[in-house]
Amino acid sequence: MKILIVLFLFIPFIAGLCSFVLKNKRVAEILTFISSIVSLSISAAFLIYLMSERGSAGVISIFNNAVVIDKFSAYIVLLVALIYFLSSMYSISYMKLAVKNESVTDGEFFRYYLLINLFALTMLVAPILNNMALYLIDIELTTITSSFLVITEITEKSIEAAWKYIVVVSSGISLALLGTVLFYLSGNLHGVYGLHVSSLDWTVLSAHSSYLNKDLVKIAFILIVIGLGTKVGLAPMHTWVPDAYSEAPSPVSAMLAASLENVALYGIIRYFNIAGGSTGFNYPETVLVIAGIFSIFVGIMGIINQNSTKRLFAYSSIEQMGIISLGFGLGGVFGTFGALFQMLAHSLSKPIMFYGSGNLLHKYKTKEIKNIKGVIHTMPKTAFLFIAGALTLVGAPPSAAFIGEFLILLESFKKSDYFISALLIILLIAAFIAILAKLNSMIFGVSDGNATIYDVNNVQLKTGDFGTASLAPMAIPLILTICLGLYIPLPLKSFLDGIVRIIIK
Amino acid sequence: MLGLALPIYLNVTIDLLTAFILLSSFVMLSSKWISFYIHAYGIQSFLIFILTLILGIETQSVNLYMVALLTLLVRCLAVPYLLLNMMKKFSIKEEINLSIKIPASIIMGLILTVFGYFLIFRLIHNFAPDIIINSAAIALSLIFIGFFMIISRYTTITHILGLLVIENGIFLFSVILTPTLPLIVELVVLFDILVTVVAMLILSIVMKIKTGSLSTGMLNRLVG
Amino acid sequence: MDSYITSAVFQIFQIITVLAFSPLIAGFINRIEEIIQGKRGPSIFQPYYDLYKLFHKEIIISEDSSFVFRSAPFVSFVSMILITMLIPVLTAYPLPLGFMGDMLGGAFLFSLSSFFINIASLDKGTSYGGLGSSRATVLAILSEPTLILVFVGVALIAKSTLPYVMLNTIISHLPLYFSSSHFLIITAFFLLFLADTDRRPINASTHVEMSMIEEARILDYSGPYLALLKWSGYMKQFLLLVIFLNVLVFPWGLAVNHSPLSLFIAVITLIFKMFIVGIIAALIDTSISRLRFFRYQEYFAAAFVLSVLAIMTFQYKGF
Repeated sequence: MKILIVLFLFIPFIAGLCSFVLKNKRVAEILTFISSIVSLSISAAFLIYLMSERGSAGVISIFNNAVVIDKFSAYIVLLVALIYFLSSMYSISYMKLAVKNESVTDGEFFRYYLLINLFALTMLVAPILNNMALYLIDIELTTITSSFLVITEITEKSIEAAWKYIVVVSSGISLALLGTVLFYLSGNLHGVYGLHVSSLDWTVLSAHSSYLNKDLVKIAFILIVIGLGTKVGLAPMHTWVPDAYSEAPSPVSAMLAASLENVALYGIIRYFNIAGGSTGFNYPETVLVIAGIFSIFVGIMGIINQNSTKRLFAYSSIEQMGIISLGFGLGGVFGTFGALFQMLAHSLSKPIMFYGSGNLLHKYKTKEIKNIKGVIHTMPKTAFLFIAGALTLVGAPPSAAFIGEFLILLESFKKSDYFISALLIILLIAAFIAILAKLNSMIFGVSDGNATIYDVNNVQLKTGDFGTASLAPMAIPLILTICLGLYIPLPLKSFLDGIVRIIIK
Repeated sequence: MLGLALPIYLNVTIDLLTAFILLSSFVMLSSKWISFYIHAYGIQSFLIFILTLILGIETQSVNLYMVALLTLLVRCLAVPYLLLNMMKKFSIKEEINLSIKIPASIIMGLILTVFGYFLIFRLIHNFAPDIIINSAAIALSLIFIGFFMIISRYTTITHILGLLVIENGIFLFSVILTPTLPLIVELVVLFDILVTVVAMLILSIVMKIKTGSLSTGMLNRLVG
Repeated sequence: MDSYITSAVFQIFQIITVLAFSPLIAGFINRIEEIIQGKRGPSIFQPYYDLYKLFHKEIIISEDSSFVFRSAPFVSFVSMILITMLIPVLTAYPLPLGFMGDMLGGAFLFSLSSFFINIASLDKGTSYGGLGSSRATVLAILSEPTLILVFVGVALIAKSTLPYVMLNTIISHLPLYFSSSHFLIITAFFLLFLADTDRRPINASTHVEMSMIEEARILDYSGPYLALLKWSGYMKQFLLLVIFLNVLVFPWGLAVNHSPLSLFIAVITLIFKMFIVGIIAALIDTSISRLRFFRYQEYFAAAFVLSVLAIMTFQYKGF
């Protein structure tokens, strides 16, 4: 197992370095793709090991407990690796077209492949680190690598987005660091409880959470939610999200939206577990519910007034993250299970949308919704996948998102929080209508099938899709999410149950 | 330092050092010139270095010696050197764009300091002696003032410096309250500062090349 | 009874010291400034010559002026003498009448003198008088809160507003002397000193009507009246320096017993300390430029911040 983990850490690094040094486009694409496949299979191996009899202890820990993989981390790693795999596949098509359109130079191309691998690496490492502070620093490194990915195409807009991103998130992370110091302090007060917990390890703190000072833990948890919430994109710390997601290349947007947010949310939930063990779960749950509801609201407001495709899906991410934190905040078996499942559903649906927007961007040369018309005529396959993906995103059955959202709703009923249930239903319906209305005008916006369609530069568009590399990354998650909507395999269910037991003990 | 009985002369010294650290952040708030700003940051880091060294000598902890040394190298020498070097290379216009005028921002800093004292007192007065309340409150006000610098100034370098002041505050906070914090954490935080500063410098250079200025006031294209 | 008489004599000697040496300090600072600027400069006894000359000139008073105009020089001069009695100029122990007022009382007397000069300069209705007094009032409005806060800081440290108590507190408890709040108070007070004695960055005492403050207020006076006002101006600077040095910065070297020798030593050390601070003040005065009138608030905001920080840090000092 050790050798697998070390391999796991080195493969993306080597792939990135080689693609940067060798200066061969074909090699860069293939290396990245192979690296992502290897990462995906290794993370699947973790999963299988943890499910199996031998891993019945539920954890893989090496390097003197510096790296600990339990079910929760393995789950997040799997989600990250999955998006890494899809994005590296989609990058082949996206970057090729970008080079062809001369929006990306050769230098920028190789820098992109270096950074996307490093970005994936930093995200893959984050969930398996056992030390809180190291985890935060790793999150900071993801910020740096991804902010340079945002300026893959150097334009004034992308610089602005990257600058906002790095400033807002770095200051957020520093708040989270302060929260971590407070967590450490809360266990380290001599003579208050007699026993003190002098550690920053999640395993140790989680096991001894009842010895922590409650007042400090309360403040520290708020700081953590604000700090990591910036990275997750919880409102009102979401300001960088639409900018960065819309200016980044589409594969990177998908990675930002579908995996980075999960990685950051993973941190919040780890702290949530510790804070719950110390102060009782009522307090951290309330915090997450408030943050969640507010994020859903802000996300939907952003969706309703949106003119740009990628910003639309960025706001949708904010909304989805709100739903997930609401699920964790409602707690209970259903809520937590639903939130975990919604994480998976979101990670499957969101890439479809960003990849689809990438295809539209290359075809129509614009992100403006009002300039994109009649996609069903110009790119029929993309249009089909796009609209089907949107349906799974907004939670139309049968899709994984439907199951996740339904479970969260069920938990709110079970706890008799009817206000929250009503609010959630209204907001979900609003999101459903808003997103589908926007997409409807894009996909079916031309009444006459024979009308000629122009892009933003008034060049007549030829009918036709971009090829397998642009369609497969959309098709694979779509099939997965529909299958999961119809049937949850028993091993996955028991695995998620295991995670629920880790989180709410 | 928490849980440590210090002799009175050390208390007085720490008291003085922390007060001057706070004062240096006010110097930053009241200055209009970037180079002045950077030097004030260097001095602040140097004071923090001395404080850490004193605590290290007092507790005979190798950890703190290492941390102090690295603070000197990274916060006090490397980062100001990088920033000043970049300013020289790109012949950056010296004046800072302010959104809030200097007297108002000084008063704002004062309010933030008082708020820091209030918060820390509420938080830790149960188990901490006065000297720690004082130093921790100053550390917290550094964090607040750093945030205030970021929102009240429109230049990339001042954004970087605001972040650095926040980091200084957190570092001071952790040294004062949890001197037993593992060395690896401090090391990684310092590494992180270096990487972040370099990344932000590269970004601002790109910005300078593309837009011809370092002012972030013009970054208003992305809305909605 | 014997010691009471000695004390009374000492008090009188204290007043004489202030009267006698205040022009010397003013002349010394002027001389140093000129030397720093690369000129030879006037003799350090020039203020004495000025006063002598002015006392032998005739008084010209406008017919429109009221008693206010005539009384202002005396009020100002007497206030300064009263303040002298309140503060430890030469001795570390209180002298007779030393408990008439505390530091706030001293501040009131300074304000009284300033107030009378203000209304006297308004009395004649000339334009420069109005200009000077309005500017001086604005300065007072800006500086007064800080002054009060400095006193609050002192009161916190000494648990009293009497200057003698402050002096003895920081001598007897050295950690207080080295505490941050003490240093911050010193800095805040020094900024106020620079402002109150009409130095840069607040004002250059020029004879250009556009920028003058202090000069404009006494522009209409002549002869002995002007001499009195000038003298009380010198005394004001001297007294502020005394408070700054003997109460805050360096409360050592004052007479602690009733022997004439210690009094003599006290005079020598006081003059020596003042020369040092005078050199510093002259250096500051020549090395920085004048602030625009509408940026004075920044300067006073700095002083205000320092005094508030002094109070804040004192609350939780660790000793």
